[in-house]
Amino acid sequence: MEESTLMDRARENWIGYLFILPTFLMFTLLFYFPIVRGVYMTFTNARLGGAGTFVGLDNYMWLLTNDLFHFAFGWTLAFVFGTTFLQLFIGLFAALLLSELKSGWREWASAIVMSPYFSAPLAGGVIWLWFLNSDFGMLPRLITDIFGVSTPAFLAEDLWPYVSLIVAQSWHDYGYAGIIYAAAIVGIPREQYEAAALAGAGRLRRFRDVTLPHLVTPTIVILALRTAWNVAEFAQPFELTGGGPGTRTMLMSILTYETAYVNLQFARAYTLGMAMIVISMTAAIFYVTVIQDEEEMYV
Amino acid sequence: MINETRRSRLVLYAALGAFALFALAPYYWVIRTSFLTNFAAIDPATNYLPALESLTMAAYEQIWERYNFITFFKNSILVSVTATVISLFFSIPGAYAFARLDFPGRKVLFYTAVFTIMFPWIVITIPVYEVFYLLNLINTLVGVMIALSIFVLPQTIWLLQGFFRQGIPENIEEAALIDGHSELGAFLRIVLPLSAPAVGAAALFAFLTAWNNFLWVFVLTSDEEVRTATVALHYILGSDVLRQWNILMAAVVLLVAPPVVFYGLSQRYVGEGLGGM
Repeated sequence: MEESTLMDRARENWIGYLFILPTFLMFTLLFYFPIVRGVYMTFTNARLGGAGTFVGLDNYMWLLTNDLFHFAFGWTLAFVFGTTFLQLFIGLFAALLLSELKSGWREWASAIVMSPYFSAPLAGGVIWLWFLNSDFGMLPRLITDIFGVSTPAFLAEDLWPYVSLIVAQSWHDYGYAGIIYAAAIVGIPREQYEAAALAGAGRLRRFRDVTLPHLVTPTIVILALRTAWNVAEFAQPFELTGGGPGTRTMLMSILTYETAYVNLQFARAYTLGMAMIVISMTAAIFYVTVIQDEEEMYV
Repeated sequence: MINETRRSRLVLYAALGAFALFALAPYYWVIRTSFLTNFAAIDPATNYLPALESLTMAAYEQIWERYNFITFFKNSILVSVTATVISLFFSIPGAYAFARLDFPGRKVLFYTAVFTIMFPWIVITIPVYEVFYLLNLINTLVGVMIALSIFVLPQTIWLLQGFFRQGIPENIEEAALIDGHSELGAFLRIVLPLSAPAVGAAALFAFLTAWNNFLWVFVLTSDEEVRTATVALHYILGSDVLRQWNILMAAVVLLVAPPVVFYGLSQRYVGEGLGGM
């Protein structure tokens, strides 16, 4: 194939610019401009309704010396690490089980198994609040009835709020990993399994040699996207513990919310947000690297 | 699949059963509560599976009287439909250009769009709030609609560009051009009709995402008249001193059922597109 010049490509596909223009304008107005504006804001003391004056690195100094930020940053990392890997493994397990079912049954079973992902995250918070409720919830009651022991307050005592938040978030979002894995597994040619079976490979061997290599790209995609989205997760943890009791389960997203909309400290809130952006964008770079390799196969 | 035995089938069904239990147990407790009286719901004497005669629709009847849920659900539907339509209007041509047209600058634009999908939303609400505040869009349905349209746009582009890239035969536009269609005509007459299922799936997902969204509506509104059902749930949970758990759970059921059922009915159209691949 002969190389086409830049001008040729532009001339041939000029309509691409026309097609992309509306989206680009939308993105500029509500993504690119606000993001840049926000970054500028971190060097001012802006509050709601006032542009503020330039204060240099004051907000960043405040951030670095703020104990609650240190705590929230560490707990957010733990939360993201825990939820992302749990979501990945539960999702993979679900997809592997579902792939064994016959088509027809599989659709119904996966509609049930994946259903938590489609509930509103806020409702997920309410659902788990009720499920774990010390007085009337199902889980404490079950544990008491079966083992005859009283349960700790899952949303308040010791390390339990942390466990509850991670488990509840994994419950809500493993379906995302599950759906992507399921699509990848369905796409694996059947002949590869048959050939492996003929060669005497058992179930585990077939999984390792045939299934696993097809799951590398989906795994990185899931890890990257879920990392970014778990960092950003707000509604469910906000409803479940709201960062409490006190500030003991304060996540970065909730802290950013409170700084911005309860204390109305917009500039400081965005400065907090910069820490979240750093984590998300690190994940984004991994993601782009992977889909870039993938894309080369189509282009 | 291959050389399966009855025992391995049993293990499979048992594992799937355990999975369904994990997925559904929290739902079950909500549904159970919503069909009981408030007293029965918090009474430890009520069984896990309540007796048939103790079930009642009372919570589903009272919910409309006790709270303004007619307005909340109307707002939910209104903003979700608008966000779906607007985001499709922008994303169909956008996704098509990303997937099928090789213009200079495409990759740069594409990858900046990738970053938007992973950006932490709570952070971006802050400068957007400022802009909306200056434009008097706070506490209005229009403001919510604009915010939600933008919010669902990256995801809609994602689903669609994956489909345009893989679901449509290569060189089909060239064939159309040879047949005498213009570029725009080839897109409208050939590509778009072929994409109907994908557009349907993207529309569904846009609707669900907008319907489920809490953050934007919560941040941008404070009045009851412009509240959506998701946000209303939060306020009811926070405000009741004597909680009517059965009514609250009925609200959860009404909020969660549509997305879950819609997904169940349409999921074969979704799948891989979710990963943007």
